[in-house]
Amino acid sequence: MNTVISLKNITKTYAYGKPNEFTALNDVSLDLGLGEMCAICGTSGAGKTTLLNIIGLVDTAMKGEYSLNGEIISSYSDKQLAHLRNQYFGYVLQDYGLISNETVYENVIIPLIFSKTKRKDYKSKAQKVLNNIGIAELSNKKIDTLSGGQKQRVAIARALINNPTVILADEPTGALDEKTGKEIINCFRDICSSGKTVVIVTHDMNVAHQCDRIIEISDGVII
Amino acid sequence: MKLVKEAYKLLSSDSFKSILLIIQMAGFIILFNISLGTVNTADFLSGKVENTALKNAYYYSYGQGGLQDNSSNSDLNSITFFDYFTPIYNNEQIIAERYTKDFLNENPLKLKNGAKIKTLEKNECVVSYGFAQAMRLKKGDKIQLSYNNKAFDLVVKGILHRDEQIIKFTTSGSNLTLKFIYEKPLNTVIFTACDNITEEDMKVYPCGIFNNTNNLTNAEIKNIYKKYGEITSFKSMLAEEQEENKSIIILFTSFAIVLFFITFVNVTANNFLILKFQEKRFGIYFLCGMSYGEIFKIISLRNGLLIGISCILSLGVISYIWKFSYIDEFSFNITTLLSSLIIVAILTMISEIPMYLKMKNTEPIRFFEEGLE
Repeated sequence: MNTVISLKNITKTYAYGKPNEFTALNDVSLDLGLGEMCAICGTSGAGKTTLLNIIGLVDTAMKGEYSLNGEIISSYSDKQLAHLRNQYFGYVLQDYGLISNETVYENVIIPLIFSKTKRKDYKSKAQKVLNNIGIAELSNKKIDTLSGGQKQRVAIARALINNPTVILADEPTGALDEKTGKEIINCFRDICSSGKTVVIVTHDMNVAHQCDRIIEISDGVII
Repeated sequence: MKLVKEAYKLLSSDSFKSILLIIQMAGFIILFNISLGTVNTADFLSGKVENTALKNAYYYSYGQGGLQDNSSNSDLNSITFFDYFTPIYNNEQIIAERYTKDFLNENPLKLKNGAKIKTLEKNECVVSYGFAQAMRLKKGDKIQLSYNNKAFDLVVKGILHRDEQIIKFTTSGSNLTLKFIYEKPLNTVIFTACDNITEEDMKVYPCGIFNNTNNLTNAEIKNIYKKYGEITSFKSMLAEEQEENKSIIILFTSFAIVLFFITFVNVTANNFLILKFQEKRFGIYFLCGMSYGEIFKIISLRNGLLIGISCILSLGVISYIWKFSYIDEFSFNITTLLSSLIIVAILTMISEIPMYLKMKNTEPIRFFEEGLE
């Protein structure tokens, strides 16, 4: 399996040098392969979300090395990291991370706004990804009129619109009932089988066991 | 263009605050322009008197029929400088003023093109701005007026500037001010001589300036002229004008300064807090690939839109005040407007500094944590 992301000796400390200094991740090393679906599990405060944020280039490590497709990007600028986030990663959050007073279409095209995609191509790309997820008929609906499952599908559609390599999901079934949760995980399975890497943070072992690999983290260390 | 659309979304997502900021910015621009516009007009009228022979003269006017007793007049070197009467043009009564050549020469009139006119030949005239607009008159047009069952023709030599003010006829009282005796003329035609109209035709409401070369005291002057109407020195009118203008200028300037500070504080607070108010939106944008610098650009573009809308709103209000209400005390010029816009733009840029420094010293994830949870 090709390694798409490689973390070596990653350490993340918050409030460094201050009385409330806290190390969320301590010397963490991890390789993620292309087409792999893995779960990051641990108790609350273990460092799961911090690890996911570092993988997704939303947060930066204090120490360590990060490689993406073999290229070390640890010292990239904010602009370069933003470009990589846009092109390589799609994010799905527990509370969906959608702008509720806008439509499904307006939410789904957000990643396109920060890419080089021409405005005239927005509609076709949005239509394609909404079709793939099975919610094309919801395109003009406002987010706050949708059910939880529908909202999460919209979030997944947005995460997929730029055809990223890696999909990151932070407790994606946390706000959903069991049945809908299963549907969402199946959705991730389909995404993974298309060749993308899926990383899911979860405290639910039922969800974790549906993944190819489980990474357990405790007190900022992978166990 | 993409970021402009996002900036607009930001503006409209909190429309109450946006409208408040727009009103404050527009209010400052309007007050600033009125304040300086009043100063400009005050200087303009003062200049008409201070730098001319009018400074040592007296204004007097008498009612219909003219002077009752000509003999008192000859000792006082009084001059009738214009005659005022009301002919008909296009079935409507207008005002015609016949200036003496000397008076026009000493007090030239400002035309629409900015030039000043000092002489008018026989049968030539200048018309007021409003009159020219209403009657679609231009330089070179011939107009025919009728008065006392006689017709007389004049050729338009020029159109008065919109802001030009001329001395008007009045018998309204002794406490005259420059602002009162000068006005922006409405339907007015000014000439010096014309065929077919006699001196008798025009002496309906003569108006004069008394030069006081015999150095009579105020009491002596008033005593002689008491039977003819009122008399006021230009010097006293100028002094009173300057005093009155000081109060108006202080009032408007104070309002402008207060509004300036309120607006500055509000804009700064709004810029500083917008990352908090919009943390969810910016958090999502950040996840989807927007860089930190682009967030700052969007906020700056939003502020640019605020300034743009304020400018349009204030231009509308100022235009209304200037054009449609025809207030004599206020004049408008493009320099003042541009100055006020530059001040607002600088104020907005300065107000973005605290926000910029906070962003520079904070990791992005720290800003958007709550929005992304």
